[in-house]
Amino acid sequence: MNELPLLTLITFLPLLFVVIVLLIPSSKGTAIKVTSLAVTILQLIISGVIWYGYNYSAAGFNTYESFQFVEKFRWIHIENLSWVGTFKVDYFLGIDGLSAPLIFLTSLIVFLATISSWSINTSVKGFFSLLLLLNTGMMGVFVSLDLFLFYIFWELVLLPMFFLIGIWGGPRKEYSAMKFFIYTLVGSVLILVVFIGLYLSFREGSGNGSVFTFNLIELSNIKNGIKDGGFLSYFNPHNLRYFAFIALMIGFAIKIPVFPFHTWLPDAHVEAPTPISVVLAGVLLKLGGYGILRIVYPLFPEFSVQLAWFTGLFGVINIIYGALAAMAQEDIKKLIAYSSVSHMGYVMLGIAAVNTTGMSGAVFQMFNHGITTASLFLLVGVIYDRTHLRGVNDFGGLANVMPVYTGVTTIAFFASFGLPGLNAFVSELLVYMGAFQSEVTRMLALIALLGVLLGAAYFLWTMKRVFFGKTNEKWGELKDLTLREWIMFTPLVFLMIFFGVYPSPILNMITPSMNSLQSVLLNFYNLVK
Amino acid sequence: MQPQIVINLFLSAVFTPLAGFLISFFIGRKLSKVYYINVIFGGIGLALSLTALYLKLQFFPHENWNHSFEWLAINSAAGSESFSISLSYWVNNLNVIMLTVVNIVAFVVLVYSTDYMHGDPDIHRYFSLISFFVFSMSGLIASPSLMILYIFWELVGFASYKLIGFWRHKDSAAAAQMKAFLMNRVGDMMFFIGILIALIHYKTFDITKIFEYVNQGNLPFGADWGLTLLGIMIFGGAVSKSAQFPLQNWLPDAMEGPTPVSALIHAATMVAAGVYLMIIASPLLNGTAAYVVALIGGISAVYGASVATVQTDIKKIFAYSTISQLGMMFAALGTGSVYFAFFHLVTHAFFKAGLFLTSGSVIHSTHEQDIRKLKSLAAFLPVTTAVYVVFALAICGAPFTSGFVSKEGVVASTILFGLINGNYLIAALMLLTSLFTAYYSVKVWLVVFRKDKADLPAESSHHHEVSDENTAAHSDDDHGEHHHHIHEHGYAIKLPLIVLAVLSVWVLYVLNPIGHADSHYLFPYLTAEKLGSSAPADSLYPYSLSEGPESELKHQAELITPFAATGVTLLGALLAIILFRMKKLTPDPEGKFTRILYNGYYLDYFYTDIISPLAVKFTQLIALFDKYVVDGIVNFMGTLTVWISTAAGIFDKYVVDGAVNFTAWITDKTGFAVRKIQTGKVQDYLLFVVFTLIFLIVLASI
Amino acid sequence: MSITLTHFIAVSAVLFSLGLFAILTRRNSVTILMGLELILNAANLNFVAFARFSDTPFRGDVAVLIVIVIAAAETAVALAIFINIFRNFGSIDPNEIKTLKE
Repeated sequence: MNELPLLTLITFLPLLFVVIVLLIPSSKGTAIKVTSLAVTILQLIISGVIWYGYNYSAAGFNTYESFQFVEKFRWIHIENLSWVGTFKVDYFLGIDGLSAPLIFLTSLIVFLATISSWSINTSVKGFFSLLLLLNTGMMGVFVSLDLFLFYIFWELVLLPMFFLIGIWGGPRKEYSAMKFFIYTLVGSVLILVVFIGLYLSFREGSGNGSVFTFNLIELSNIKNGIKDGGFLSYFNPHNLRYFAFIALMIGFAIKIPVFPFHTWLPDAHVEAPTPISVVLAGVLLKLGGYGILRIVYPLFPEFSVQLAWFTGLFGVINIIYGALAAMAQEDIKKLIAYSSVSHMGYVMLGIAAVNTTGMSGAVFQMFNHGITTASLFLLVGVIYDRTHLRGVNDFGGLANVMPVYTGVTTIAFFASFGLPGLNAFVSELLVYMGAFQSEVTRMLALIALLGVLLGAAYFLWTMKRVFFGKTNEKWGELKDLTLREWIMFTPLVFLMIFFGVYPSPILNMITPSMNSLQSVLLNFYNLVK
Repeated sequence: MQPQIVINLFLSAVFTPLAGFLISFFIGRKLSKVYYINVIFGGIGLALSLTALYLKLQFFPHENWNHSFEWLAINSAAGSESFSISLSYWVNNLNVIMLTVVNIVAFVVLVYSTDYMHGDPDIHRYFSLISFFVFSMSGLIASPSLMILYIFWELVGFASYKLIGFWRHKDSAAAAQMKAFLMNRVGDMMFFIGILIALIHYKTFDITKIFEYVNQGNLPFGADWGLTLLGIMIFGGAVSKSAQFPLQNWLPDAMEGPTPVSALIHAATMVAAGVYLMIIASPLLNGTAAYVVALIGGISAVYGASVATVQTDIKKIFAYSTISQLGMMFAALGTGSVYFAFFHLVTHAFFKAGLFLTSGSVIHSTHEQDIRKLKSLAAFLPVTTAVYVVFALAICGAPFTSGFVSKEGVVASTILFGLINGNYLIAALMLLTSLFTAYYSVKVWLVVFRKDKADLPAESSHHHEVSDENTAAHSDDDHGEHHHHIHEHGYAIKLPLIVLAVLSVWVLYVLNPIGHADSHYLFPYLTAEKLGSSAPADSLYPYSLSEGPESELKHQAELITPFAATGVTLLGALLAIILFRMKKLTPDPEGKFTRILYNGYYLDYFYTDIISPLAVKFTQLIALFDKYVVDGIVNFMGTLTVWISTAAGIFDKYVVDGAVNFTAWITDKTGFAVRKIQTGKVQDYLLFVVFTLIFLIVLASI
Repeated sequence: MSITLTHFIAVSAVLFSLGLFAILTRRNSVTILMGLELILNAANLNFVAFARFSDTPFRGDVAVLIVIVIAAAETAVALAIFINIFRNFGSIDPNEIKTLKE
């Protein structure tokens, strides 16, 4: 099994199929759709194989031993390049307990988004090739272990997204696409600057054979820092690590998004077509949280621990502020967008706890948020397809007309605000417990508990206004879920209940990694102190 | 007899409703009468729990079994914070009895519902939700882990939410279900904080382990206030779930749900879950926390009972009465008598479920629930009237009813508390509650059920007339139309009422109704040490009527109580009767004071008309802030960039590009000048060639 | 007075100059062609003269024959072109024919 380069396959299969899709004549829309669906099904199968072959007992964080399904080849290798010496970039892929759940999530969400794209009928070819390109970018971010490679995939995500919103979006699509692109590009620039700084401050190998490195694992080893001259090296007394940490955090925070960098999200969601909203909320927001845990924390352990309170503060602001803003929204899509802001606050709070419980909760919350929010956007898509409306006050009493739809929505809503027995409860519980255990974030966790109330408030209020009460006569004839929609919602509802009742398959994957990360952080912190 | 048998029976009883739920949920739509499956599973659950109860009390009266399976585990290398959430269950006398009570009421309500809900298009949804609720409630009872308890705590809230809003087309039901869930969430937040406090301090969710730590003097935050805080936080959950002051307003609104639901969830079981929680958590209560519990209970008791006296909706009367009775349980609990709190919970479950089912029978027969429009029902609904009398006597605490025994105990423990502490506040509140309780029970009897000689002949003759000619069913006369349809429904309605009425008779609980608690059948199984909490955390039990050594004060309390309680009850009843005779007992809420009472001291207005709109305004403010300030800054940055780039563009156009264009201009002009040589004529070119050649030759020859 | 090489070259130069003058000044293509013939004949005369007076075995007369043949062919082709030009433009003045320029 391990002979096959599974990670390369799952990442580049969509790219290969972009070519195939481009060869299909534009007139054959269905053929294009079927081809794209086939890719995502293949990816699902591959991720199933990965899950099957995953070794739960592997421990460690950002060490060579902790990664599985590793593929490492020399990619770019230029010798005697003036003062740089050897310029070396590896094609280095691997997954551990942090990235594996997100890979499963990505393949699932992209699969559902493809099904949901069936209703796209303008420039089908362009849409699906961009969607496949996006797919490669997202997968690549989660599997690459070389910062150079990571950054390429990171940027690869932006471009298709820009066009997908800008061409297939709603009335204000140009504005939203531009805002999304520029905003995230600002983040990317910050990230790039720090990456280059890191590259020039660390050397892998010893003595004369040492070279500057983009290798994440070598960078995670503080001892590889250059003693003199590396301005992001721990050993340089005049290092700029403090600013680099903040720049990197902001860069990733924009993607999460964290208050006050969140305003691109509601606009992008409102204008994006349903499948793109699904991908955006389901996967793209996780890139930020993933980046913080994968890159910021192991590379800047001292500030990660010292500044945890601020990370947590922004998490709490996200939770409360997002929930309050969500309650006032009239557009359901905007409401869900703000609820995403609120739910991603839990990720920040869990990360800020800097302990196994909190960080596992944060990763699990990313996974769960992907599932629940994807279903929420798909659900909005269902009524939007039928009525071309999505105002909270445009409906009323839909429960009498669309009982199954109402049932699915009920489960998704209650899962979102953390009803026990459904998935998000477990992750929110872990985040709260982790944050409460850590003395730094204890008070923050107490304040964040308001989110439990506020979350229920805006979702139930929406339930009440959209689904209950007298049926609005205009919508008396609405049809309940179609077969295609059944296919979309069945796996989502199943996963929401399954991981609510039995979260261990995912948690057992996450906790060993987070456990090791915690020891890495605390060991280093104690060392510094 | 193997203990495993009892445990298996117990667990089967817990999971039977889940099976019922799954079956009817998945195939409910396909089959028309599938809801009988729920009834059958309810019956199986009841049989299992009764058997478990019998075997447990018969063979293992002194044993507590506690088992757990790991559900999710977080292992930490640091070691200090690894923990796991266990799917744990315990079997002891208390929760076996509780489970049996829940199953009895549930089965009775399921049977009742087959008639009551007959013909509803969504009947299978109703029954599957009821089964789901029973499962959640059983799960809540079955676990000693605060976390698992919290999970089921939320799930019963969810079931309650769905069932309050069962009639989805009603706007009022939609509002009520949301209110119920949100007000419960406030308390749940506090409960959750309590759980977190316990977790960080004791690293466990298991309440029995927490007791051990507390008994060893290991207090949260190392101080007594920590224990107080923990107790009050856990009580916060109970306050909202049991609709206690100040989070009580959701319960009257919850009456929007079908009446059997109100009987099961909002009278007998779910709201009692708060009391149950405090009973199992009682070893955690220290003096301060216990007094808070008693005080909140006392206030709620008087609040509920006083507001119930002027309500016009028959279900709301009973809803407020539930608040008041639950308050009495908390008062007993807070004053140390855990046993009587539980005992009152049990008796109240039966007679209050009975009262709700009685009102359900009235509503089902008359399609009316406003007591101003109901009259002389005794003439038409004999069985309903008869059972109402039993239930009303029980709730008043009249002798020879179960309510007498349990209420005496409650009042006695508060009086004992007063005798020991010199603080008679709680006792006074209890007596006031008894007064109001008697008043509204008698009032409902007088207004709704009593045969009114004055207008009965006219009524009945009218009744005759109409029934003679069936076609004239919709007569113009309001009264006639009401009473024409009135007839009692079948055995599915009557039998549950009779069963509950029988369960409200004293002999099932104690032979000698005025005897000491020792003589109660259940008491020997429910002493503190039988419940696994060997020693009380703080000075809670010295006040207890039932625990601890005999004392002079206890005798005094037991002596005073029957006279005080019965006297007050009689006073209340007499007041109602006298006012009625004086024709002053009008069901209409008139007068300033009555209006205040009718509106529940305007607490509801405070929440719905002040707090809620303010909150919405605040969120709108936040949204505007987000739109114009946060996003405004972003857009301003964008605009600023555009300005700067415009300026740069102008510079570029006129300065940078200007230089380029100047060069081009020069080139152009030069080219234009030079161009003239290019005539395009061969001869001209040739001439150039010749002259150039000559020039070159001359040059070469020099 | 014997006729020397100088005399031949002088005649040839006169011929060349007349041909060049015709080419540069005439407006009629046929006249230009005749000027061209004069230049060629000036060259022919030079060939023959040098062949006669040179000590080396220089067979200029052969070159003359080739030049005459080519001149005849060239004249035939040129005249044919002129006829076509005249048909298209109604003139054989080279200054009039400037379609490419414009």
